[in-house]
Amino acid sequence: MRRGQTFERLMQTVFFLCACVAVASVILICIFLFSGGAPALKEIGVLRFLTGRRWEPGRETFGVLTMIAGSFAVTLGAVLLGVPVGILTAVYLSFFCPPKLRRVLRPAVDLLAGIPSVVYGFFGLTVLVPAVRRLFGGSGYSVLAVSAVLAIMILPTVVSVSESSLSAVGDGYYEGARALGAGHERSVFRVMLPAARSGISAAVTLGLGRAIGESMAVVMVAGNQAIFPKSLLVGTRTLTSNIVLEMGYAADLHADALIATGVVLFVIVMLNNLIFALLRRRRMKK
Amino acid sequence: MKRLTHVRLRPSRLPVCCLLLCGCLLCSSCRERPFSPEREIHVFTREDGSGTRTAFEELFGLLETDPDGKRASMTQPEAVVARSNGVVLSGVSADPAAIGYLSVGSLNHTVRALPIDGEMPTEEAIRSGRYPAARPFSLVTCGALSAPAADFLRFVFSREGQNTVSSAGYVPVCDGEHFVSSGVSGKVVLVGSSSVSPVMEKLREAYFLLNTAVNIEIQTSDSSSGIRSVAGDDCDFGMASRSLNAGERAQGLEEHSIALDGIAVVVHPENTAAGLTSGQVRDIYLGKAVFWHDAGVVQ
Repeated sequence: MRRGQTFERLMQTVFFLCACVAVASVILICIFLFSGGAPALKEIGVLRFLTGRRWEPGRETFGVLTMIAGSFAVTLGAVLLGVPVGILTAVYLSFFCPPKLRRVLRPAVDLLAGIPSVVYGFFGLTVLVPAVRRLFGGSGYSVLAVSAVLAIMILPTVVSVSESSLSAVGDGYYEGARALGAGHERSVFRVMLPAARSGISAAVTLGLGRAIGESMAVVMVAGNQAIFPKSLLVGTRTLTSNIVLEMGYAADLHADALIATGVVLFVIVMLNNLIFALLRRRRMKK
Repeated sequence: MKRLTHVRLRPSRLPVCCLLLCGCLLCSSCRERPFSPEREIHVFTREDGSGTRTAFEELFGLLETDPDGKRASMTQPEAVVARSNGVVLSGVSADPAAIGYLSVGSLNHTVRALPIDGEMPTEEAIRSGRYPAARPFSLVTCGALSAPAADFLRFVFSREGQNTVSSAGYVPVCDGEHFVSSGVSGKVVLVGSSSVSPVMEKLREAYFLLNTAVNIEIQTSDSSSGIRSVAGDDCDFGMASRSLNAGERAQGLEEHSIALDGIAVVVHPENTAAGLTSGQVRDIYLGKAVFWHDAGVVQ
């Protein structure tokens, strides 16, 4: 009896420590990022850093506004391209798909989540960039190509979260709609989909987080010019690709400025996660 | 009532087939547009801080010096920024309207190197100084060398060492004599440029065949930090892909040029340009020449 209790205590400690690892990592990363980025932010000036349009390490001019714009542009593009496809895929998988086909489709979507981002980048570089260049002109390294790559990358997240939130809607909703005389499609699109709304918006937020944080695939297809993305066909530089691109060579203030870029990215992702948490809380209340 | 998971509504075959057919047609109809002088130039450059970019901008007058002495790049901001020589290579080889630059050591047949001011980046032209875009790879030292470091330096300038340089695709600086190792043992540490480190790795391998007792450690960062570490006595050699500046020379540092590297200006094989002058290259990278005919290219 007592031995069992000691074992219980021991295991409890083990579990507690495991939980601590994750929390400690987050705290350590926070500390590293903010302590590493603070000197640069102080020296450059937070406002000048955030609103500066020019990134010229040679002149020690560091402004990340173009990169914030770039990150938002490609993320928006990815969401516009990927979310409708993702949600409709989820609807198809939950309500319209013959079971035989589902056995193929579902693993295919999951497989998409397991492909490393470098492979997506390579796919973008060898297929999408030439395709954009041939169809629309320009060099092909463009917001459009990045958005397309990111749209594919966020699909699995959007599909699986949307699908689970659709299946979490009570059967009573569907049955009620059918009993009132609505057809299958009408019940799905007018009752089930709105009922899963908060779960689906969580799916979109998660997808957004993935898109904004992606670096490897983006740096390969974006063109990486530190300019405002004035059209879909010009390249842009995102916060993540700025770090990947220049970390190898940077020294002194330049390196610190890159860490500060990481801080900006971190804050944006945190805000995104906060929104996600709020959405989930709202769903829980329901 | 059991929840209906699916209705017996199969996607009809006709629209699916149509869709596939359209896709195939679209893919086959959109071929790469051929090169013509009327096409816009797609400019590829390297990331800020890269040794190749710095050398290229220096050699073609693309750096401007601010009143306070800081040097900034004037390369047009619309240029696609590639992360390495390889990315420039694959980007330019896929796009008939592209131009890029890379180290001659990384050149291959998928792109065409253009003559600059009438000179191809051949070994002979680079060595004689006629090719306008060449930079030295050097080993930077500070004060007296340790015995193993001196032995390694002697190897680098020997016939064997310079042959290694040449077979790595770079231009040797001297003919050198046959190398006989003094047989010392110890450790040599090299820190610096990522452009120099590939050829240094090859030299290390070749040296290891002749003297296994010296352990050579190569740390890759960039030219400036390599020079800083050798000045701070943290290593035996700094690897630099640029010349020392006046301030660095004043610290008593010495540079030994071990190889020359040409920077080749490359275009797609279909490009009809016969060659460019350094002024035209400069205009392209400044963004003054937008179309290929602006740079004097005719069909």
